[in-house]
Amino acid sequence: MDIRVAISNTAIFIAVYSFVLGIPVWIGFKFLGKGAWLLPIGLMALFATLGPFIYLYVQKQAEDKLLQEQRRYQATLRQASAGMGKIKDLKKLLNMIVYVLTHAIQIEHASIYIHDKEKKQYFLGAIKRKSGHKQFLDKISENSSLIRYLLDDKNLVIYEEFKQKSQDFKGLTLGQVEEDISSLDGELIAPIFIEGSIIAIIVMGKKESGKIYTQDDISVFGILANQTALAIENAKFYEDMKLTQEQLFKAEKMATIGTMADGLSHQINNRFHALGFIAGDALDTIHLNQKEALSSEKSKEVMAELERALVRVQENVTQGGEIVQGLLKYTRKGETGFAAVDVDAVFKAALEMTQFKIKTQQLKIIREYDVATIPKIKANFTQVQEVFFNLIDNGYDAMMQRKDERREPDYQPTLIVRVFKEDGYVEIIFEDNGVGVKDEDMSKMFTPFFTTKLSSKKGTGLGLYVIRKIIEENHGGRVEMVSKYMHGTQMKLRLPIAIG
Amino acid sequence: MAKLLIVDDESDIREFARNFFKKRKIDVFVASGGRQALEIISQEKPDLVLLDVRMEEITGIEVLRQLRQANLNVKVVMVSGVEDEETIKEANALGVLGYIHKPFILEELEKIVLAQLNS
Repeated sequence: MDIRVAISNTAIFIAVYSFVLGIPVWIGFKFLGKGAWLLPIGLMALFATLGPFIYLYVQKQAEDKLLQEQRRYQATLRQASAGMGKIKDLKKLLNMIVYVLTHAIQIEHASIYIHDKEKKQYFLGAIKRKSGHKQFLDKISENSSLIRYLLDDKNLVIYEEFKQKSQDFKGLTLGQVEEDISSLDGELIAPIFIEGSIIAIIVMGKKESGKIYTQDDISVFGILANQTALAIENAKFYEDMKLTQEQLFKAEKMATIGTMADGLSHQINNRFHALGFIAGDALDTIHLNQKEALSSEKSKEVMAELERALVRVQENVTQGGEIVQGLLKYTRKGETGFAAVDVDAVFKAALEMTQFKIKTQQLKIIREYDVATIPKIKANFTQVQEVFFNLIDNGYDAMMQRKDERREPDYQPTLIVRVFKEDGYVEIIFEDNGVGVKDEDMSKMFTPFFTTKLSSKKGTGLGLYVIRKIIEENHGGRVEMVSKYMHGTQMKLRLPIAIG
Repeated sequence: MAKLLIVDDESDIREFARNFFKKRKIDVFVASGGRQALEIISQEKPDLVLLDVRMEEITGIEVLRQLRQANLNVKVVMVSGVEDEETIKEANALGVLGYIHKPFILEELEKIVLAQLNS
């Protein structure tokens, strides 16, 4: 409090009380004489001074007592409102809202309906029913009287109060609105608005205590409704984001497959080519030996030749199948779950995939780790395989670029992979001696669609972005990049150890 | 006897092509890579070389270039899978008899080989 306000308040207090208490003291002194009057007047002065404080204290206690229940649930609702914004999963959010409402306010049931623009309906998103047996509706039409009424009135509707209104409302028969509310078994209907349209409707049942909803309740629901609106928008936005991100991931994968097409078609073509030769030679053997009856010696020889050919046919078919399997392993969405994963196995799988895109023979790949001592990581195999694939591929491109640009006579492109345990994590380092990254590009390396790769055909600009998303967001790990231009790049990954 | 060299890094191609041409009284040599091919060519002087374009060690085009540098005027038929226009042009510039695209069947190859060996 301002010191001047404090002084002035004290001065006013003294002035008023000197006057109010001074008058009886002066009268007693003047007309009653010393003695008898002093005690009652003194007590009166004391009580008069204390009176207002006692009054305020008792009033607060009484109010607290009376409104205790309401305050308790209002506090819960406020807390819940504040926490809602953090929930990114729409379904979870809706479940939490109805759960909190039924338990905090002690009502028979609560449900929430979410707007579906395309289907022009509000679909039941979550329901919590503690008591009562009435059936719920799974959807409310956009054209129902209730929605039209809420759009116009923009306020909460309390059924008890609503029933008392009898006149018609802007062409809508209130009776129909009343029927709609009653079919929802709703005691209180709260529309959730965003920019003039109702994105959701909360329906609450009767209080289990039988009490009616008060004005105080409504003001709390006002806050709740605003928070709910933001939280729902937030969750919906996040879901859209996730979808966009998935599409982005997929685009990146598809682009990679595009660059692998050349290698893949070469390999598959080679299988067909070999099959053609094997079959051609076998047919030739048959044709050459058809004309005359064969000695048992010769027929044994022919049979052996044909057997050899058919064995090779099978072998080539198996190889072809493996190529297709490898591709499918990479393209399909992959298992969504996390498991204890062997880093070396992922590395091998990734290396297998890179064969289709790059000539790994041109690299010296050094695995500086002891398979026996590395703990397993808690990871999604397919996702980490994609990360490793991208890192090997990036290293290769960087080294080939250096090789082509510098033409250093003794240059040996070398990729070193180190894996070790550190600080309760598994640290994985891919180190190449390629072109490296210029300082001015360093800050942009993880930006989507940014690429330093020479031909725009080669890079989507999504590789590192996707790597960071996979490692940091999906796995709770960390990605770090250290690079020196014309010396090389180190990509450091840190992934959590699998427990058990 | 006419000498034929087959250069391919696929062992099945080498094995079965050799089987096939042996039955036609042709002396068949095989090489799994460019270096081996260059060695055989300089030693054996084959009448015809079937040269795969895409190989791990050194490419068919590179083998061809080194052959021409060493003035070895051996007849070469290139065998290719999914190569682009540029590779074909380069091969033509270095003087090849022709270009066969994979996959093809042995009978086709036989016609080409016999035609070249008899000419």
